[in-house]
Amino acid sequence: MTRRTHHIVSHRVALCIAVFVTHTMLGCTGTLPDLRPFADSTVALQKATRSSFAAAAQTARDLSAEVSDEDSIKRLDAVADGFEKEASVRSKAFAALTAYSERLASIVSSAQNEQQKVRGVRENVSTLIGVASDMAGDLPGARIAGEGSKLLVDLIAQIQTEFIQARAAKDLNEAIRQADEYVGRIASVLASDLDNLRTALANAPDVVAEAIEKRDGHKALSSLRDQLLATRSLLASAAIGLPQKVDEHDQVDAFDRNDQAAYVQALMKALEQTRPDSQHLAAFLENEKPLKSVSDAVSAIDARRAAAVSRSAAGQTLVAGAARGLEAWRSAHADLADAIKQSRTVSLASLTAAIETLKKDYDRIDAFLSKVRQ
Amino acid sequence: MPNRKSSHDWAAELNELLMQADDATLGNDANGRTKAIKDLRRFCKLVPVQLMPLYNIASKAIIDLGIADMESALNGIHARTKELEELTALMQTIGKTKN
Repeated sequence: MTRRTHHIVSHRVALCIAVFVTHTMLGCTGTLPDLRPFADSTVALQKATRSSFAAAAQTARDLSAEVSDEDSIKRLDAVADGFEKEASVRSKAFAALTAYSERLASIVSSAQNEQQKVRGVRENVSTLIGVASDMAGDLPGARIAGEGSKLLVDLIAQIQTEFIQARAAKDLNEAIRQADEYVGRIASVLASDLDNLRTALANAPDVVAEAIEKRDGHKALSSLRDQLLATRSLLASAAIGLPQKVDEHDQVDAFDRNDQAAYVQALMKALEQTRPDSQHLAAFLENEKPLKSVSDAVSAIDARRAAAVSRSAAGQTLVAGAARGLEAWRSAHADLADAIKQSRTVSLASLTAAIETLKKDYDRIDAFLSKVRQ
Repeated sequence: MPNRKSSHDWAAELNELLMQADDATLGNDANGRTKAIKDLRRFCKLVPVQLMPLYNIASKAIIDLGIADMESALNGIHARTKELEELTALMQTIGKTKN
């Protein structure tokens, strides 16, 4: 071994030791986790929580619009105002959580940018060394010196990369250590909020349905429709010998389920054929007019009720989705804090999956509610 | 099946349901309220139209239970607002110190 190569090998050993020492002093960092999904999921969760509060407030307002007594209206309006007021406090909490999660993500992205720059410098210097080495051509020891220099540049870059990574891990550790307790407690309050919103909306579909039915006189109209259907059935049975089971709900329900227009056409045809000169046809037609308007009124109430019930149910789905998303977020943060402490890598796959589901639910419900409000 | 309950039977049933609803409301029992609402809804569907006053009472009780659900939830949320405000302020302080 020549003196020059011996010198290069000594350099190499010294640098390997330097890398090892740096690595040991700063702590093994593993790969820095990409925390962008965590920051994005905080924003998604903020939207879902805000919408959950809005759904509860809207349900209270919907109900207020359906009831008639002053006391109920006053209580429901106060509840709606209360949900909106509480939502603004939650928005501030989420703004703090968002700022925190953005800070975590930016620590990692800054480190990645710095590492990228180091890699760029290393590549440029290596290229220059390669060019210089080629220009030196056959000078004794030039090739070995060139390779040695490249190795030196690689090792320096590696130390820098390790240092950047360790510094970022230290910053992450510090940020998470400071905030961990508060983040956990805020998440606990938010989980309790969502549980309360679940209670607020638990019976909303039934209650809203009842309010609409009462306001629009659904019971009286349904009863009248049943009587008119029974009269139609009586007339039909008297005229064309249909089985007379008008006092049985099954029979009336069967008429309801059938194609009304086709049924009436068939009955009228039968009446015209069997009792062309009787009073049956006139009586039948007399019965059909109110029956149609009452049936239409009942159908309109049913449709309005179905839309209101769907809105309440959409609110329930949103709250349930936000609660699942929050749970995934909370456990992802705890895992992250643990991983940083133990210098191990962390996977945010389950959080990403939960938030994707939440976003899909949110978009679907948002589109549905926009459609219903139009 | 035709309904053979007398108006007294219907009134007695409603009375029972209203007591159940009162217990759930006074005890702030969310599950009790849910059960009372379901039972009152069933009552409203079945009670004959001739007994409209009974229907009206049951219907009002359902609305009241629904409002109680919301008020109870809002109280639960409000109970932790101060704590949340303090935690938010602490998180903001950390952010400012770091920046």
